[in-house]
Amino acid sequence: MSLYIKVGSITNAQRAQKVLKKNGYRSSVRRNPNCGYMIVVDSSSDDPVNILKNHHVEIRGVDRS
Amino acid sequence: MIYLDNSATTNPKPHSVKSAVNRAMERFSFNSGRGGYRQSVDTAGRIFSVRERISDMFGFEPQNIAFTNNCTTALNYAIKGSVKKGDHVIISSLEHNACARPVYALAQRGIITYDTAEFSYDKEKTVDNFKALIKPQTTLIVCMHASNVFGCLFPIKEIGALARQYGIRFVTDAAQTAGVIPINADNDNVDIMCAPGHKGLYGPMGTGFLAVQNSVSLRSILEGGTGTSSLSLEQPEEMPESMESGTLNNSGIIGLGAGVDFVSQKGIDNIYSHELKMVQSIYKELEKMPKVKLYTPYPTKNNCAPILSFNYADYSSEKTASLLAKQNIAVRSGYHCSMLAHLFFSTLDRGTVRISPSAFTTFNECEIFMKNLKKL
Repeated sequence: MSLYIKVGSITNAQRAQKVLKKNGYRSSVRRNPNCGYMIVVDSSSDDPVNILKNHHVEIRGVDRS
Repeated sequence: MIYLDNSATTNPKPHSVKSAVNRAMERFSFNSGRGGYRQSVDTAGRIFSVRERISDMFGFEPQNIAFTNNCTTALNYAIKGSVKKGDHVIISSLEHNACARPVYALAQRGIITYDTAEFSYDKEKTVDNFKALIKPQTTLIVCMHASNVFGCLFPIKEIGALARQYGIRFVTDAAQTAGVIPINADNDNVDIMCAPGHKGLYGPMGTGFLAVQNSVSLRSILEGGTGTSSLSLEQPEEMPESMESGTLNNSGIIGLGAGVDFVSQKGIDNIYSHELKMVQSIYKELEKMPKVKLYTPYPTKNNCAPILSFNYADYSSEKTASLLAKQNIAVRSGYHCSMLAHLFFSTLDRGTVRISPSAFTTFNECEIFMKNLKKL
């Protein structure tokens, strides 16, 4: 499953990518509309979302496909 | 040329900075934070890495570092974004116009009132002077880390602690100390730090930054495009985008990153020691000259940044500087954009001649400067 985690600014996207990388997730930054950037990460669970929340990265929405 | 005006901007810049700027012009001339194409995202990554390096040096979170075009802009954002009508502000008696003018302008418009706290070489006395001016309406203390004219060092850690004790926001102007004297957000109790990129951090001119603690919420002063929430007319509140409307100076910022690397590799303590030795050697020579008037005590690590002001005979500071300029020696004369400092040291009649070395200044250059001064 792909998670599309909408994080708003590019600065948040850069932070999110680094946090996920430290936790073993490969992700990509893509342009994204309660516009900006989203992090795309493959995961069978919502763990990446929870990891980002624990690191106080602002999350504006999550799409799953 | 012997360049002793590094308080204005450091010169020369390291080769690594020039290379980084040129490379950025070729590879990173894409608008970061706007596009979804690889080059735009890669450029944003480069910009973020500079935030991280500044974060490592000063202890603020990377996302809380907003790039500006100089320290003056950062100070205007910090001051005007912090106060509301009826607030009281305290500044020091040596502030640069970059702080004094915004505060004065706010007072002239009837938005705030303000007082100036006197500097003293007795640190406790300086802190007491700030404390004595605190009122129930005081919401902001703005204090430079070091005077750009006389080098006097303010005890920002203690002033910051005083501000915390009273729930007052503390802003420090690190124009003369960022990259020269260690500063740490938490250790020094700094809520907001304003700094130029082109002085002690050896970045290109046209760079600076505003760094804030997590607990600080700043009202935006300049609104515009941020690449986010474009369908809303509300300015985003999150840092750094709230303070970075419009296109960033990519090549300048990436050059600043190389400057920060240069300082990190040299070591801030080593740079401070080196520059202080230059100033100490000049001070000792000036002290022996009956025609020279000095205004400050012998410079040490505890009392000053590596900046020295003096006057020669009854010459105007401009005349002394002009005579040195004819010998290809660059020093700064006049009032150094700091009426308050010259008022405090009673030098409004002729200003002062200011010398300020950099990491590149040599003892040989200091000797040539002294030889030429003695020939006046």
